[in-house]
Amino acid sequence: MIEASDVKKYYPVKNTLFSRTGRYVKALDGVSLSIDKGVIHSLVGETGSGKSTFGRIVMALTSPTAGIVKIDGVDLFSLKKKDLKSMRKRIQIIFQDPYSSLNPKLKIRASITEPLKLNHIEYDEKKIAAVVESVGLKPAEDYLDRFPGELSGGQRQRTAIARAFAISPELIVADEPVSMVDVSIRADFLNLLKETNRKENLTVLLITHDLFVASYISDRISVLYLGKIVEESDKNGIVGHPLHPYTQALLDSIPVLGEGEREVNIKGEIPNPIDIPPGCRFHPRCPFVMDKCRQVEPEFREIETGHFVSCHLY
Amino acid sequence: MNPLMNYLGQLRKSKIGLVGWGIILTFVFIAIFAPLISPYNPNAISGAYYQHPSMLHLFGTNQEGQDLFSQNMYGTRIPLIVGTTAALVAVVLGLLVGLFSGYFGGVPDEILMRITDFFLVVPAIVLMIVISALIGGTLTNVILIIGGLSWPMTARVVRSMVLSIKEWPFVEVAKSSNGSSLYIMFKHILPNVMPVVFANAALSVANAIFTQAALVFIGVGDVTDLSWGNIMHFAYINGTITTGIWWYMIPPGIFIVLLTVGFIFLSTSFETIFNPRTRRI
Repeated sequence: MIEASDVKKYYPVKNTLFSRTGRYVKALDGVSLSIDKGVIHSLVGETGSGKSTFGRIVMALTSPTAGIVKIDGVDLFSLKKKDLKSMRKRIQIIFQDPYSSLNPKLKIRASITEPLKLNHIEYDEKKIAAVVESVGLKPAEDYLDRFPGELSGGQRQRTAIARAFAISPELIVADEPVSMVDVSIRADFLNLLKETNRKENLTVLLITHDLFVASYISDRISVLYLGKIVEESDKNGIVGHPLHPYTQALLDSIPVLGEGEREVNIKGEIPNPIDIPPGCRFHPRCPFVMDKCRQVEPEFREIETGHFVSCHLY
Repeated sequence: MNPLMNYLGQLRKSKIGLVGWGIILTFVFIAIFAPLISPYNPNAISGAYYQHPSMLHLFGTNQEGQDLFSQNMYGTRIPLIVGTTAALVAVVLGLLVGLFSGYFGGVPDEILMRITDFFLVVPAIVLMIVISALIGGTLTNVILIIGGLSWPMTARVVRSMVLSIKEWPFVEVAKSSNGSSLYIMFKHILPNVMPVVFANAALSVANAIFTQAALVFIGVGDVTDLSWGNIMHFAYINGTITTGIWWYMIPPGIFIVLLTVGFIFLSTSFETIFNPRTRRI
């Protein structure tokens, strides 16, 4: 369904009056990703890894500096305005923060019917009620005429999901959909996505920093580090048999009851995407760093069937 | 909750808002019922000239022997009309400029903001005198001149709010659902800047009332239209300040300040009520 090849997004560093830097923040530095229809694909990475930028590019909310994004074989950024409009009828987005993704001045009903109205899709009261109840806001009439300010964070996020589901999209980009809801209802949301994925063959691009969330519902997982994918495999490959030291470190950072020391520790924070380290971009933090890593950027290769990694260890 | 009911509910706790509304509504009442309140025809000679205030003439009489109390009552009408309509013109203009400038950014923003800067820097009152000398100072012209020159403040405030609101995710959601720029501006951004616009509108009214009075006082505009500024104009040109006829100049002066303060209070109350950070629970 989605095919992204070598997508780059560079933001120029603002020049001041007295200095022209000519440098760029490399939010995405050559990301290739393909997602099949009906698959839940997670893009996992730390803050600053560029994962949200990738989501915005898939939504055509921002255009890439280089590279091609195709949806069902059609290049998203060479579409005419009219064709982009009909493309957008098929894609919806769910944002992380349910406080800012709903207009505080619009009633729940107005927020949910917005994508229907804007896309000229007919609907009736019954359909709206059904959508609202499907995300767990029951009974619908208790919620439809309220403002977001009168709802809890969880209820707001349900509203945001209902809005995304309202036009029955083929693809949903979910940007950290559960990171701001209580842990107690996270599973609820993820199950909801999974269920819709099964029933309606919905494709989901799940963007998250939490490998645990990703492993809960994903079919495939890509691990993004500093604007580049360092490892990609199906869920079992990533969770059960991680190859890249960064993935291993991410997995080890999930606390598990009864386990002591972490096996792989990484130091420091993700480097500034203006100065991407030479060679392997992970080498300053890598516990297994070798001389080669400082000079040569590893290739993204298939080590096992369907399991790709870019690391000199393999 | 209905926004109006919400406002009324909050208003009960805002003393400054209640005082503001009290002052404004009193003057509106006076303006509407001026013929009933006034004991004399304001333009008719109703006694000897320069009479001291007395039970017969509450505010005394002027150089012609016209009743100043009646004149002041009728004189409430024009400040209110000019104040509200000129503010309406200013706010609508400022709102549109601010919305477009903030939303589109880039070259249109640069152009609109340089124009705004120009109007902010040029002393408006001087420009108003020049323009009304050119096109004539009828009531409509005065309204258009005041409104057409006092929108920059609103434009600036609205623009700065739009700049932050347009980055909110709900705007991106609307965009990704094929919402056009106009749709997003008016459906999503406008409702969120309205509270500030209300506060600004009330200030604009205060500003317009003051400006109109100032213009008439220095003789710009139609001096035959009865207004507080007009009364002060005649008080001044008849030299009453130096001859001790204090009852001529003082009442309209106090009224202008009072009504202006009323609208300033209203503006403050809008700000405290609609801004959740300053709202008292």
